[in-house]
Amino acid sequence: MKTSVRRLAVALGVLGLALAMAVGVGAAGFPEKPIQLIVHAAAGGGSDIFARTLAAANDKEKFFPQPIVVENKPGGSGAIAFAYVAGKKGDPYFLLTAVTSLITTPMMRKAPYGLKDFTPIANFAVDEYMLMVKADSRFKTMKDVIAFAKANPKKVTVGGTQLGSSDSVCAYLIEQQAGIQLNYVVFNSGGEVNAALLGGHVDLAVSNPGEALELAKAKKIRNLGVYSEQRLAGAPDVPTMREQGLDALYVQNRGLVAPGGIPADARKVLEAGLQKYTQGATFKKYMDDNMLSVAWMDGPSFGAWLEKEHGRYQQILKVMGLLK
Amino acid sequence: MRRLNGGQRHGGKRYGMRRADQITAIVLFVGSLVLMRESRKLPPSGTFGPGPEFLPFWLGILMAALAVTLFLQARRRAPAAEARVFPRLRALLPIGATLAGLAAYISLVEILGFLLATGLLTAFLLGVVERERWAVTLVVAVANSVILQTVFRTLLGVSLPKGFLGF
Amino acid sequence: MDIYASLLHGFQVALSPQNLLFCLIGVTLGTLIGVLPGIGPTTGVAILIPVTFGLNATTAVITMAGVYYGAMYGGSTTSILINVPGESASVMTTLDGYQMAKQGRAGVALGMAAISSFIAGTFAIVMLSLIAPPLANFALAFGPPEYFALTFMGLTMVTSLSGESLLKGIMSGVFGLIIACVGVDAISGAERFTLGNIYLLDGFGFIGVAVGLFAVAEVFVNLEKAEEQVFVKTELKLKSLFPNRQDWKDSLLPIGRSSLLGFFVGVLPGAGATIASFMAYALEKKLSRHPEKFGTGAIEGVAAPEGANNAAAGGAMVPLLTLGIPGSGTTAVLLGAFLIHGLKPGPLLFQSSPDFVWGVIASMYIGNVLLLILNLPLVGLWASLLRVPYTILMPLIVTISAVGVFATDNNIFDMWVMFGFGVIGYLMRKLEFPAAPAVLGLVLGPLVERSLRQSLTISHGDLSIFVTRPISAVLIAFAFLSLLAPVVRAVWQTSRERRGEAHS
Repeated sequence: MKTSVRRLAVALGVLGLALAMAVGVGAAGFPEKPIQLIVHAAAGGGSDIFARTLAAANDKEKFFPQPIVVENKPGGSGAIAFAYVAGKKGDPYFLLTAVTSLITTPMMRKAPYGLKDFTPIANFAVDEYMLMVKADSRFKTMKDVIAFAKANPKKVTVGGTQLGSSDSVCAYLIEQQAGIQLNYVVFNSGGEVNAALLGGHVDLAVSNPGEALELAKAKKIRNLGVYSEQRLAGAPDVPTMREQGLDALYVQNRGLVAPGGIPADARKVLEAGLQKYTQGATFKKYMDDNMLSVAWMDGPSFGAWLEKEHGRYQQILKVMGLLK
Repeated sequence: MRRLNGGQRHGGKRYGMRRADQITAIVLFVGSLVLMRESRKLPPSGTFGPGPEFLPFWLGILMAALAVTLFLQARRRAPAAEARVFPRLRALLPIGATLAGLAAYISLVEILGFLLATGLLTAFLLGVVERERWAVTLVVAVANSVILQTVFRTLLGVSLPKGFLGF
Repeated sequence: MDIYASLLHGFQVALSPQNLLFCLIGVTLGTLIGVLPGIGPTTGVAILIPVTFGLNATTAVITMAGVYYGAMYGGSTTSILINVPGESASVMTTLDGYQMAKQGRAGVALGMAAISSFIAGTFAIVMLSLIAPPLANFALAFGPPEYFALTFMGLTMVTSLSGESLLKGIMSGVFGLIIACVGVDAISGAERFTLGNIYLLDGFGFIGVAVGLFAVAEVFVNLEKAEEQVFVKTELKLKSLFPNRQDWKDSLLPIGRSSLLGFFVGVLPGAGATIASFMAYALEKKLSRHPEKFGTGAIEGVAAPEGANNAAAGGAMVPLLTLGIPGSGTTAVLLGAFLIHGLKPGPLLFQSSPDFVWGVIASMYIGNVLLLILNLPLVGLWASLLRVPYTILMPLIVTISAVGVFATDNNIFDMWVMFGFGVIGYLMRKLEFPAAPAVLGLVLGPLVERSLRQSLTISHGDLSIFVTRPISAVLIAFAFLSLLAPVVRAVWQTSRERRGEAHS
């Protein structure tokens, strides 16, 4: 009898404790269930690896009390994922990978949703861009390229991916700044662009440091310039475009957004948790391995940045003839 | 190259291959015209060489030419006794039922959730279309949906649709 | 270090108990992923990336590579048993594999698929370890004009995929090319025939179309004649599970040729296992002394595409390891995995991480042996599945097709694509249009168009770019030969027939 009373007391105590904890968590509120992280690209791409790294880090470092579940919704340069998340208005349990296509795809596809349908949460990093030539190319600097292209309009070929992509914007920036005309050749993937450059089928190619620096080290290619304000730490001998008289700046961001209209405190929780993630070891290793530059922005500043880029793209894509 | 429909000579003549080929040819011919017209609406290319309209337009012409050939070839063929192309209505019934079941499944899977919808579809196909005994139907339906869900969701991490019941 | 010493060292790495275990896990998982329709090696490898975070780089990549080539083994299983292509690279296997199953020779088909996969896979690894760097340079010589010539040649193969009517075969191929036009045109950014549907921006999903045309259409055809037993009842004796002497004789040369062909196509970034399997099948049909047997259960029709897709998977590792250039969707994911594990893919990988590179290569030898040991006993198990009555099998085929198609991109719309193409496939079957040329057109269409337009962009619209470059010129010549030969033969035959008719 005694023991059973004691058991009952213990059970009640445990129950009370559990309730208290539940209330405690409830006070903090969000998140009470797993967070869905929607990836706008296919499994295995840059955004997917970013998302899966984040989810795995959360399992270990627990910056959110609930797990992050990654789900790929690829297709239409992000259009499918964007429409999906835009439709989850007010639900803070959805996150979406946000790179440049979040700005360009709705613009080019005349989608019924836009930046206003997403709540910027945070930006983590930026991918830098470089312009490269084959090692035995006649072009040694951007000046050579410009001089040759001026004399031979549309003779210099540039390899890159789909029109409207970062590659195509990078090529366009050179045309615009130097007042030249290049011949842009569209390939299916970055890998195919690099193969075409190495095979001598195109003269120039736009590339990320991750790919370009290893090829440069092996003396297969040379980098003519980087689209950043300062030279990159990993490639101090590559001059910036600005140094060569071209005001061509370009980065692709890696951030996360949530659906529009989510509660302000949930946004705060997400932002704080993700900031904690950027201080962990997993994040540092991810940045190093993928040769990304850290560019932390909290929600409001990321939002402002997106707005600014939106205006810039509207201009660029219009001139490129991609907006109707 | 020319195909004669020898072999099975049962069934009526109404939907023989000769007739079927002619109808197919007409449908494809009209389709090609639509394709060609739609292709002309595409914007011209900004770069060298053919633009986005080039391939579909010429495929339209090619398909139209092939359709005309098929039509003429069928007309030249002697209208001999031929097997009917499509089975009688009674044999088409299970196909229609399967199609309807599948369409209902695809429409409802996000509402009912994968487990329930798959179980129902399996049960429908087995119990109604195939007229299997109900005990067998039940066992197979439950086992199939549970196994598929376990393999795809639990083992492979596919995010199968969860319904309003939460599974 | 010379190659043999390096390879020996690689085996030391690969044979460590941990690596051996994870190689086994990788190939087993790969087989499963291959067996299941929809989920392909690309998704399989991607799922593993976070799982392998805790492992060292070599072990992690050994596991993922195992999934990749393991999936090529498994892909044939459902193709043969129930006409559901497990992977895009095993669509061709359905043509003869399923016919063999209907004749009660499923075991033989499955066994030959495994053996052919083993031989071709091992051949590819030998080539990979011996001559990877020069091969990579050969691959780089393929620019847009060469890709155009290659894929155009591939398209002309519809003539050999046609059934009894050449005309209907060509029409089916053109139909495939037309549906391949749907989606955003990458070169101009224009939307083609998407009808404002965002799910069509990337065109029709290949798996949805293939499963519809083959698997769902087959279900409908079988439903028509419900009374008839679809499968011939077979005595599942052990003997009937393995290829007999005649099967071996028929298959050995095709396996050799498709190993070579598949490997070279796989090395090219921008081609890949699916195209390799189409080409190998068409080549064997062209070279065969009895091409009319293809499509009715010829064992070469199973051995060739299955060999080619495994060899291509090995070939795709060449540009990945020597240049850091991914040649296929799956190797692109592997490249990402390299980065995650702190490896720097590129031309220096062999020098900077010899343990890793040679360890992975050696593990592929081991993995192929493991796969053969794993798959041969499974043959009996799979084949006995066909003893399940068709009435029960039918709902299983329909549901697994639907979930597999969904799993490709987590997309309900793809199920509708499968549904629609199931109906189209049924109509095509009844009207005697072969489905294989349509699938060939769908796969090759975008490649042909893109490389044509790339070439003409580079040449400023000058068509001579295709004939002034040697590789391209040779391939174009082959293409015209293969295109014209059957037409000339047919015209000649009809005119002779007519003369014969006139005489009688």
